[in-house]
Amino acid sequence: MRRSLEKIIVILSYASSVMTIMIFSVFLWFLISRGYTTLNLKLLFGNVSPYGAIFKGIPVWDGVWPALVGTTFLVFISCAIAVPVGISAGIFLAEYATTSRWRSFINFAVDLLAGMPSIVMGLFGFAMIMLLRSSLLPEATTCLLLASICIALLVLPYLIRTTQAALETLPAALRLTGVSMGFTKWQNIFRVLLPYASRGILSGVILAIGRAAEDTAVILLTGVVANSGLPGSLTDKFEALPFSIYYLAAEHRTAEELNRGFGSALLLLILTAVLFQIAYWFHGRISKGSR
Amino acid sequence: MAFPSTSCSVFAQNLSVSFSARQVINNLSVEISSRNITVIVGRSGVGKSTFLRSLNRLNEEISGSRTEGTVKLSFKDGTVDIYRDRFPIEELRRRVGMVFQTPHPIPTSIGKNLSLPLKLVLNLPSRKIDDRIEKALTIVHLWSEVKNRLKEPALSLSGGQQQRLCLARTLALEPEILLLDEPTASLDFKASEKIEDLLSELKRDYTIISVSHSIGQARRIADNVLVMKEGSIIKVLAASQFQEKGTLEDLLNEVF
Repeated sequence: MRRSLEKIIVILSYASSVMTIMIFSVFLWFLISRGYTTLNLKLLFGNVSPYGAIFKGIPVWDGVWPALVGTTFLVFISCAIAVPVGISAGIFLAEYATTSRWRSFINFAVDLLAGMPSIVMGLFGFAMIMLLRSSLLPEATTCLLLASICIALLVLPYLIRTTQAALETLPAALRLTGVSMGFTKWQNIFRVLLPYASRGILSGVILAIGRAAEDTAVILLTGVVANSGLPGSLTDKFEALPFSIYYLAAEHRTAEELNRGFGSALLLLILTAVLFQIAYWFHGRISKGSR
Repeated sequence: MAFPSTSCSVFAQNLSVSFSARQVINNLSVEISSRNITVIVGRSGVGKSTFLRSLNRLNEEISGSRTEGTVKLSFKDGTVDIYRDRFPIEELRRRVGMVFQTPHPIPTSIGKNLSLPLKLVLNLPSRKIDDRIEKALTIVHLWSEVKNRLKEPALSLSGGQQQRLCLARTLALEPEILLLDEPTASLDFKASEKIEDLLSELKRDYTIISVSHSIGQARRIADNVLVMKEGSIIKVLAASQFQEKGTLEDLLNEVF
């Protein structure tokens, strides 16, 4: 009885992993079969030459190049805000928040933040701008910076939780290693515990990048537009790939236009893969740097 | 306050340690002489590790701990009442080095495992750091094995090598008292033998206090054996009392 149960569990777990790969393959095949014909420089730059668009700043109106750049900016800015704050908060929760009431209060707040639907986060950003307009900054409007801040809020709980979990699951004896040599508490966290926890923290960063790249609801209310060209500054409106996909798919008039939506989706997938690679590379650099 | 005797380097009186109301060390008093190996034996959970950690105030890193009583340590430049004198805790822990049951190298290179503590704790210039690294690795007989691979990750070393690396890392900080919490428990027979030989060499320069689960090891290396039961030391045995094979086992059987 126990044997056969064990066998069933093994088979099920095998089947699940095979299924994951299969679903991904089907999904990828679907995207490629619909989108590959459109996946060329014309999809990116329209009728403008790539050189002109990239180096001379010639505006691109019928390509997704501005959306690609917009999403890249969005991911970098929101991660630049969320990663340091998220990791620090995770360290605080795992290592410094000792009074249980304070700790459970913060945990509660992080859980709430994690459970917040992204449209609510977008609404929050929108409301903040309305408030700013009617008080301190009458000029304020939805823009790249606002969208990045709201996205940062959206991904913050992932970073906090993964950092906290990565630190809390380290063996108790490891915690004593640094301090037993005379390290201060911070030296021990920074030099011993964080390097051991870095893989776990990296997975949180990857999650955050993916979430920041794909979210549409937040940016919809905080500054994304269908046609704005490249953002010139943090206070400009911007384009973003997920929104372009939505726009292309929802407003298409020909099958070719719909296929361009699939092509853009493929592009988004490639972009996130590249961003993940950058995160891995960065992690490798940091761990090498501490050698 | 003067020490009971000049050759004594650890003096504990009425020491009690509890974790969240669970009493682990119970009114323990002991004197441990310097430049000797003192081995603490006793069953699991009698407070051997907790006692070791009370000598470098490491219990304070564990939540809910509470320590009462007196611990005085004599260093080259004087005696410190570690729970009363305002002696910097980082400096105390540097002087009372500790090696644990499982080796925990910092996940960096072999060389950095030794250089980092020297830089952070002692602020040494790099020229002196290199000398100390070589010296410490030579003492633990690891230098010839790793001198050409100091830039390789420390976690690529074998368990025995990692334990010797951790010992070298502690020794490089030039402690005066050495606490060893079952330093050979995770090692095989050959690697343990190496560490035992090493400890016998090291006792010329350090006061060594080691917890051991192996009676055989206690007999081989100890100058004194402290027997612990229920958070107290119930017997102190000198080497002369257990030289012959089997006598230590008999003595311990009487006690347990």
